Amino acid sequence: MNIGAYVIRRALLMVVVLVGTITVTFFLSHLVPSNPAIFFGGQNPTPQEIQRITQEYGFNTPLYNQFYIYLRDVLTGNLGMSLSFQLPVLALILEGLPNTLTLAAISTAIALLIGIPLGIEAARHAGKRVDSLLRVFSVGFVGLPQFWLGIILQLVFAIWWGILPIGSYGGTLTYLSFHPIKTITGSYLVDALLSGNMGGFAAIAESMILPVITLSLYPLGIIVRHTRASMLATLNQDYVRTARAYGIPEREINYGLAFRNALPPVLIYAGLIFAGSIIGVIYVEDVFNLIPGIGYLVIYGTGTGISSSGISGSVDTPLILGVAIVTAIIYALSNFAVDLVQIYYDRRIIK
Amino acid sequence: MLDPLLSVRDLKLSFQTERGELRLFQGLNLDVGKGEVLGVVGESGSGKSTLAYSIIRLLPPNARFEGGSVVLGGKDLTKLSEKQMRDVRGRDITMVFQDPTTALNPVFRVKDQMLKVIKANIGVEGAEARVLAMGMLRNVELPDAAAIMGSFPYELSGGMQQRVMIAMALTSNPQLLIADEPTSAVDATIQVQILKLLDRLRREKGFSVLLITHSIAVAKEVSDRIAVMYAGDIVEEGEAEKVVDSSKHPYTQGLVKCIPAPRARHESRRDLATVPGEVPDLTDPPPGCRFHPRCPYVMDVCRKTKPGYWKAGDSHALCYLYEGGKA
Repeated sequence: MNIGAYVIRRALLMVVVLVGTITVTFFLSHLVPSNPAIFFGGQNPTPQEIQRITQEYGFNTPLYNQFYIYLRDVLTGNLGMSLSFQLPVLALILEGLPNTLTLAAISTAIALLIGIPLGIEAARHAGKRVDSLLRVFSVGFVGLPQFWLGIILQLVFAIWWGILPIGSYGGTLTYLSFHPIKTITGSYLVDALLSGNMGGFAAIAESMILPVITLSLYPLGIIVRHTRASMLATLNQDYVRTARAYGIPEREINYGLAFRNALPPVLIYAGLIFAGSIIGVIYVEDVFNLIPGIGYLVIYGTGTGISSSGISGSVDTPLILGVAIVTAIIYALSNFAVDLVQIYYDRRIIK
Repeated sequence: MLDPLLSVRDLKLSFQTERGELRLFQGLNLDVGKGEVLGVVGESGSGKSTLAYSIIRLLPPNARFEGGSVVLGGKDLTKLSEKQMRDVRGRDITMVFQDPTTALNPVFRVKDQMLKVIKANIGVEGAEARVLAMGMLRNVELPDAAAIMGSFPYELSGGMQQRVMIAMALTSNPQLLIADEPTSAVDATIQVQILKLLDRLRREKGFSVLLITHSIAVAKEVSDRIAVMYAGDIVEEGEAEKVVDSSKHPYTQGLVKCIPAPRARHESRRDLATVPGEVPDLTDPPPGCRFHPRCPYVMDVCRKTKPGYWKAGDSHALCYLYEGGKA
């Protein structure tokens, strides 16, 4: 099979996965006892009003019919209206997504940049003290629940030591209102940098330190463990023995040669971690009161928060579905990207 | 042999295993002359590959060097630091391995692997290194060197990969080439080509070869001398023809009987001969001669004390049959 055919096949597979995800989330979300008509009725709707809205919007038609309409709309890029915000779901998500992605990307990058070298060192010293120490830390990191870690970090760094902000959405926004940034990418951090607003950049970056630590420790542990395992398998290969027999320096063998062989399995996890960290961001954005990404959409959409319209207690199904679909798209795209990088590293994958 | 390039003297090596200490070499001696091909023959587990890896000092972590010397061109390799040893590897001594499909790195193009080796050992990079690599690929009779350079190993046949391996081994003009079963993983026809190629290159460049093989027939074809290994001992050593055609040690005789003879069409199929018995467990080696449990001529003394290394005809053998060199 040639590379083109392989890429097309993977891309088609991605579409199949997405349609599957939309289907499953749609039907799952309708298992939740929630009546969207209540949302439209405004404050304290009468049963007659609810009845009328149910008729008008087709909430009483069979579910497969509603699904057909929904799928048709989604495929044309229409994710519907958010019930709680009364705004198009797509616009809400697109506004929040750049900030969420920035946080996810930084956390994943840090996990990879620190985790891979540590994993290589653990493998090189397998069974020695360095390895045991790294094992304790990496397993510990994997075991730390993020909801707990976030609060503890706030307690230690913000409340006890006072060296980092506990949550600085308000403060940052005040600063930005006096020193505005141009909207270029939609990510406040990137836009502040691109606008040359260094004060704003520093304020946003500072507010992201604890969230990034909260988000990256778990993937860091995972990456260390997987890099170690993959490196250990690689270091036992004949071609590593060949490199040694040819006097290639150990450093070059580890970081220049064997690392390339060990990388593909680690990349698979990197892709999953990046996409998976979107879920973590949803929680972290709320705990740290960050510049809103898609996290606050979920918090409000599930009825756990009070929306701008002041209505709570019911599920904003279109919004939740929209976030689920976008998350699924991010998963699919990052896996697709990993596939492409893997082909670059090892062509045998397509055979 | 007048002038040894490599002299292994009184090499003692053991392994720490789960079943106890395995004393493989208990004072092994071996010489490879300048420009000579020495065939080291033995069954799996006889220690022939371990011998190669002890020469270049790439032994598993559970191996323990207990004494002796490995002198290459006047330098005792056992005394070198790891850094100095790295300079010996790939420069003075290079290696060709049994299975080129696993010995070459699958995710790097031939070019990248050769250039790394050239950079590490000759200190040349860029265009100059490319010219060297291309020249060597042509010298190992690979057509279209440029295409080979850009290929990944798995895109080449086993025979071609082994030629690439040989090219890599010879770019730095080593003094000693260790060939560890270089033809065991390729087709019979390719096997002959590879052996002929190695022989031609050796004549041209004058390096010595330590050929490790389980096939005494292959060893006879290409070696000047043969050393037969059994359970960590060299049991017989001499000129290749003599060792095969008038074997002295009972183990060598057994190995020679195992060479399948060509048969005429009308002849019925004969069972392939084997040396009865198995290689002993060396964590608990038999007392006396390590071969005595399998030896058809075993005597009482063989069970008690280890034989000496006596002259036996034109060869030397580690066997009481030749005690005092009387044979």
